[in-house]
Amino acid sequence: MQRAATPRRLLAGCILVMLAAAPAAAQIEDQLSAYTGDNATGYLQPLADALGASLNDGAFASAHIPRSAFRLGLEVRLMGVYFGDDDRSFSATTEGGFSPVTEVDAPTIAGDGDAVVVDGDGGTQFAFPGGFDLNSFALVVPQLRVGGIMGSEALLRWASFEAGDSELGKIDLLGFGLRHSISQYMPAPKFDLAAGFLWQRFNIGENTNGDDLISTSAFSIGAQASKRFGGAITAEPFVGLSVDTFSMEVQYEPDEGELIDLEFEKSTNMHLTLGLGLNLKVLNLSAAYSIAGNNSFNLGMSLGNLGF
Amino acid sequence: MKAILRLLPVLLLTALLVTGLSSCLMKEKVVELVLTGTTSAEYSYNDITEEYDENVVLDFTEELNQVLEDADISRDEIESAFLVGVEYGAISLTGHDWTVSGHIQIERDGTGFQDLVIYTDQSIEAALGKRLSAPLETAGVTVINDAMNDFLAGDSPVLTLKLLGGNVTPDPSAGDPIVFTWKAWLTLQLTVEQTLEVPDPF
Repeated sequence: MQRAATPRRLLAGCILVMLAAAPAAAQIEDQLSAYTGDNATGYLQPLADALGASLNDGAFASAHIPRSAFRLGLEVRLMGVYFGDDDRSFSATTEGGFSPVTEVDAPTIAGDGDAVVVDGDGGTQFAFPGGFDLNSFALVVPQLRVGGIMGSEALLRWASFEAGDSELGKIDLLGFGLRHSISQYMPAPKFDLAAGFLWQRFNIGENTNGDDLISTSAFSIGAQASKRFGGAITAEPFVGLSVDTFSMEVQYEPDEGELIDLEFEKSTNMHLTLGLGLNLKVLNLSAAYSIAGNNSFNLGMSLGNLGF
Repeated sequence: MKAILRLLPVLLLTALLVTGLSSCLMKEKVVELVLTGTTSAEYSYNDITEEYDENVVLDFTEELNQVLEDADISRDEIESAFLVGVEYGAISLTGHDWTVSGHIQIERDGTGFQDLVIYTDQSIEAALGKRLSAPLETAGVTVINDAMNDFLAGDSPVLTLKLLGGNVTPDPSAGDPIVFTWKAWLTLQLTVEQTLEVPDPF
């Protein structure tokens, strides 16, 4: 069956956001209805890893923060992760009283779309749900940057969207970060240096109880360095090193009113970012690659006076 | 005003890029969805003999309809439907432990009961709060699988689950009645192939 694209869904796709983060939230809950505990965790683990890597990325494309010259930038960032072969399957065990208990390699959320069906006693069968056949995962987030006040800068990431009965479900992102220029205290800095943090909360979908299907939180603290080359238009290589944490919780109701609460293990990773920015007066473009628990990349575009 | 006019092409270009980017993010994928549902029956033992024979009509058709409704899928989209397994356990026990044997049987539309599960020497205390599984009997499984296929064809089969008690140790008596509640769960799955638009940008 082909599900029709509703106007609201198209709107969702066009306007913003990080819609890419919700691969058919309603269908995820359908697939999870076959699973409890370890199977559900294994099925969703690639999504948890990709969300953690993406959320903690794209917070900066420069370490240049003026001491007292107001700066404003409205930005769109795309943070992406490629799924590897290891992300496509996990070791799953039959459930639901299936006999005999059987262990197989079953698709994860990123894995093959075909279900894996095993035969049991007396004509019974157990179907391990198919994945969504994903090569990559991406978040597209809007963010507002305000800086140049006492050598400091604030970053706000926010989006909240209710996609009604479409496959995207509910999406709710809130992030807040602060950075402070370190190089302003250096006598003759050869490059810009800043340090700061970014906290985020990102919830996706809605379970049958009306609560969030997937709830995540991320925190990153680190330092960045960059240097501008050129005149009116500048190129700006940048580097960042941070410590990232990420936690994720999934609450769903497989059947009979039993709410399953999956808490994924909190991850902590070192995160190295290498990138290049191009400051074209009111438009700034940037691209970066990050080496962390899961490697990721990000592309950014900013409108404002950040490049001055 | 001049600054705003100068900014306008950039804004338009940005809107175009974001719109284009968003539509590129989504790709069509064929996904085999698995819908899972459970129907159950409860049996209250409160007796002074080991004989027990009670029937419960399952909400089989209602459960399958609910599963389909929750997933917004119609019967004719389903590719396959089957019984996954049967579990049983005690949900209450009054007094001391008992060891019981018995049969869980299934019947469709009054055509005669077939064995589904045969359990022996089961401690009630050990089954308290648990969902135990056991090898299933082909005859009973066939009844359920046939009923599911007929449901998909448009029928509304009525299934009745019987609990037939066997040996109980120690022997219940007027001074020591056996009092507990037994529950059986049937887990069912339906598979359906759908083409979904999912985010897969690169």
